[in-house]
Amino acid sequence: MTDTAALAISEDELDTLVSIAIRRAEILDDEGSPAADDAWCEVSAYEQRLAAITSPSGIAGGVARVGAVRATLAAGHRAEAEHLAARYLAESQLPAERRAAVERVFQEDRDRLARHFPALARTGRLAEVAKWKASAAAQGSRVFPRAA
Amino acid sequence: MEGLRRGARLSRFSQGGVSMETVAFYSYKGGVGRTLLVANTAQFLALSGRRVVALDLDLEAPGLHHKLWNPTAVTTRGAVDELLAALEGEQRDRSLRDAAIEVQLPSGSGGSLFLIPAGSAPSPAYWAALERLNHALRAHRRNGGLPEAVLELQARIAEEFDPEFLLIDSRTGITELGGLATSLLADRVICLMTTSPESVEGIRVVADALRAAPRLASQEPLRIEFLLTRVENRLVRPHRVAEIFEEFEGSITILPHDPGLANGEQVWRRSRPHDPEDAGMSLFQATLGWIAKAFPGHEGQAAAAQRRMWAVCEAWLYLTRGGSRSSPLPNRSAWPLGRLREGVRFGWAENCRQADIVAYDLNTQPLMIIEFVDDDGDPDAAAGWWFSETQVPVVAVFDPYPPWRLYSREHAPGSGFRLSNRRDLPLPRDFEALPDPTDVSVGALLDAARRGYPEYLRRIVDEQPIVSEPVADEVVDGLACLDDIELARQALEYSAFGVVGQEVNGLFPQLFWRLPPEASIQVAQQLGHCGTAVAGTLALLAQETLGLRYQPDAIAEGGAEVRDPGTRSISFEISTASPEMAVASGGVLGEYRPGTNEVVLYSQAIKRCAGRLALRARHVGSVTLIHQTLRALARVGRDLDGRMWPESELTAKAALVLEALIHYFTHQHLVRLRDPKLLRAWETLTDNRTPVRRTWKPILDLSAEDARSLFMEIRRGEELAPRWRSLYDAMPEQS
Amino acid sequence: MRLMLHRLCSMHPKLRAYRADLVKSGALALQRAGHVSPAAAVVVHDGLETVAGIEWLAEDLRALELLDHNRVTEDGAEAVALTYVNVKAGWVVKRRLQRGDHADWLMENEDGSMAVEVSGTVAGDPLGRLGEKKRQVAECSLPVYRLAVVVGFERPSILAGSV
Repeated sequence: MTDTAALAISEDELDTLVSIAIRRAEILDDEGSPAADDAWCEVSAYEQRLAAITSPSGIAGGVARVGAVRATLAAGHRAEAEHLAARYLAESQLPAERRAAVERVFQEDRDRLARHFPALARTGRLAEVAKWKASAAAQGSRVFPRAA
Repeated sequence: MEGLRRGARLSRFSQGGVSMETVAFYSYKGGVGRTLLVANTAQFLALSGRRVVALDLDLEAPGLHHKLWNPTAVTTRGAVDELLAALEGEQRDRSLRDAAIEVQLPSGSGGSLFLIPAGSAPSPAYWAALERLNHALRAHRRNGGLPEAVLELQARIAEEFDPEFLLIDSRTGITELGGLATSLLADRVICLMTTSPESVEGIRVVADALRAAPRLASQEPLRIEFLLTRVENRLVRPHRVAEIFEEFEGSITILPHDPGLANGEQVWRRSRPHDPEDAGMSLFQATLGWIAKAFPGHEGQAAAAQRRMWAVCEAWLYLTRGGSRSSPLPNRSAWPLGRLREGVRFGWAENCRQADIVAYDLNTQPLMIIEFVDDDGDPDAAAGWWFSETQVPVVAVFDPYPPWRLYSREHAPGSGFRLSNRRDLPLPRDFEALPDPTDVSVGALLDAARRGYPEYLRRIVDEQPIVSEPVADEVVDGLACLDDIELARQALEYSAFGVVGQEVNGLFPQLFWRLPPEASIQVAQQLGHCGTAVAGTLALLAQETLGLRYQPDAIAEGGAEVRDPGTRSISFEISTASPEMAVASGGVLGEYRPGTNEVVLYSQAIKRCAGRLALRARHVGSVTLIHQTLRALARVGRDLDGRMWPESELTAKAALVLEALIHYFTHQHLVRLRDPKLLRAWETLTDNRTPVRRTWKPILDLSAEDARSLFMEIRRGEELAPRWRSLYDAMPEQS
Repeated sequence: MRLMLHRLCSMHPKLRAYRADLVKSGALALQRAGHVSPAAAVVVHDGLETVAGIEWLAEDLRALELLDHNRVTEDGAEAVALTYVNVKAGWVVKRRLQRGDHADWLMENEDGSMAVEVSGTVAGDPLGRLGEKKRQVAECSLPVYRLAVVVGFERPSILAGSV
């Protein structure tokens, strides 16, 4: 689908598409399928489209914005999620409740990581790792491959 | 060493105030000795009193467990399982100690060493877990990935083990896990390479990548050190080594090559200490030296660790090579690697002790304990502990310099243990062949030979003083007792080899005359006569007894070659002709045939005679062999001017005197042999001869010089000197 | 109140992609519990009890062999719940919400928006489950109505509670 064509999709269509994508991603998540990450990428894409055509102050716009950040995190793209969050939080019309929701998304993500890696969390280095991964991803040439 | 700021306080992994240094060992190519170096470093540090955890992250080709632990024992969990659990978010009620193995250390070392293996490799379950790990890495990026998982593992290690050092054996080549182990986990990376271009280039590229790689905010810059391993004698490829040295700006340590180590799997190894081509560089010494320098501190304990490791290495080499390199013992098979283990703890709780090496039988029962006891230790007490707390039959306690103190559990009930005077370590055959493996007396070894272990004859022979020294009576008397012809033959064979030239003055000449004549004659026929022990023995007999030189086919003095059947070598034969035939041919028990220069023994006659006189046939045969050989030598031996027996016939009386002299010389030789059984057989034989043959007895009163003098005059066929006239006149006219 | 599951598509146009799954699951969940269409269901909404008749087009129970039983229960519950809220108050699905929003659906009618959390139970305590779901949807921070609905299949019931 071209960008132009994508922009032309109505909110109703996007509502339908994001609903389908969310259901699919959650089912794949429940099954532990490796395809879940890509499914969440798709959710994120639709949420971002919805955010682009809706007002941050409206219910739909607020849901889409928080949904976009959450879905991007669920897809494992932490740096991109942070970038999105920064963009949405910069929108003055975004209600305080949605701002708090965005923060909660990241906190929940940190909590989930801490449950996976409790000893690392106790060292206080969990946040450092996220920054490290961002630096490593931004690094130009590298020798050792890196999956994430 | 790169990035090191001496004296700077390193911000290592801190957990509750504990500072754990993480050191990753990396190589671009395999086969450089990386895993062995990790194991040696871990052992050294632990023996030096440090707390150490060794982690195998070479998941695709794990091997650290082979170096540090008994690989036949079962382990169900390891690094793979722990990484997987972290990624899958499994509830972790289980301690990391379930995945770790404590490597036993000698008591009092003060340190600790835990191994976290890769997993239960090479079981199918391990490869399945590894596949699940790779799948999990692809599956859920949002649950963190490998960086979080390895850091979680590192954090758990710090929490649960509180180590001072975490040593990581990381994967070769370019892999994500290898990259994380070096760039993210490690405070220090040891890069190993060989001189091959691909190895050097690979390390160069990786080192550049590591220098540029980001670090966690709380980490110090990564320190990188370089080791050049498996360096052949530097004199062989000096330019290549120099090139690499220059490329790494001199900050590289060289470890030499030990071909014997190439395919070995053991921790304690070193290169050839006495090899003149070693150029003074011992791999083991170099390794220990590098470890001590790279991990300074605890100098006293480090020195003790080095002494222990060196001593264990010595013992291990001895056991696995079947003897020391400087005095190899042939035909002694070494201990198979599967029957030796290092670092085994015995006992319970407070009453336990560590054996540095344990040798096992085929049923995995300990046969021998080897323990290194430092200067402060009490070897007797150590041995006493082993005998009171275990059933092991043999204990060896050693210092850095052999000989070892070898203890044996006495066989008498209720007894304690005894210190053996054996100075080498028993090998597997000793436990099978010897009732007491520490007893290698001549009697014990002979007994073993008689019971079906003839190779112990070789040991008796090989361990005797070198040829030019007198041979101990015990050895000669012991071997001379052998009745079995085959064993006797082997003993002669063993003592014949190693004899240099004609200078025979040791075991072989004595055994040749004292062992059953069948064996001696077999060996004589087998070896031939030229330049062999047999020829030398005959030469010795001729010289010492008759004062003649035995030189078959030698050119006579003055240049004229004397061609005579007697110039042929003396040969030996055993005839099974009936006694009647023997008499008819001119002999009784044996004869010398001048025409063929043959000494022949008549075995049937000897047997009958021995039975009649209540003697042993072998003794009768031996004295007959000596007597007839002397007759032969009297005929073919050359005097000082190179002359042999004259062509002219002797008078009957002269022949009689000559025969009497041969009897005299036989008696003299038997006295020299100091074999009472042979002497008794000879005297019994001669006492039972015809009265005429007893005429040689008066000659017994002659001195050796006079006897030889008379002998020479008889040979020359000259008019006898007046001093011999009375003797000559006393002889009967006919025999 | 007639709840015709087979009319789900016309009630909620944005469900078009997988409404068939929901409708089929609804039918199978009811038939699995031994019911035939129409089945009487007890409806308790914020404590007020009424009765509704659930109607559906019969499905072949052999299909259960190929489907996940828990998913049949949950999808079936969504079919019943979405039909119920539409019939009751004209609520229409706007879009599905992510789990992190603490509700399943964002719905709209002329009164505004509502977040709905739906759950199904085969043999369990629907009332206890309702309490759970109400606590869950209470955490939805959207400035909308919030409703929890628990559909029981053993003895057909629809329990709904507003937060």
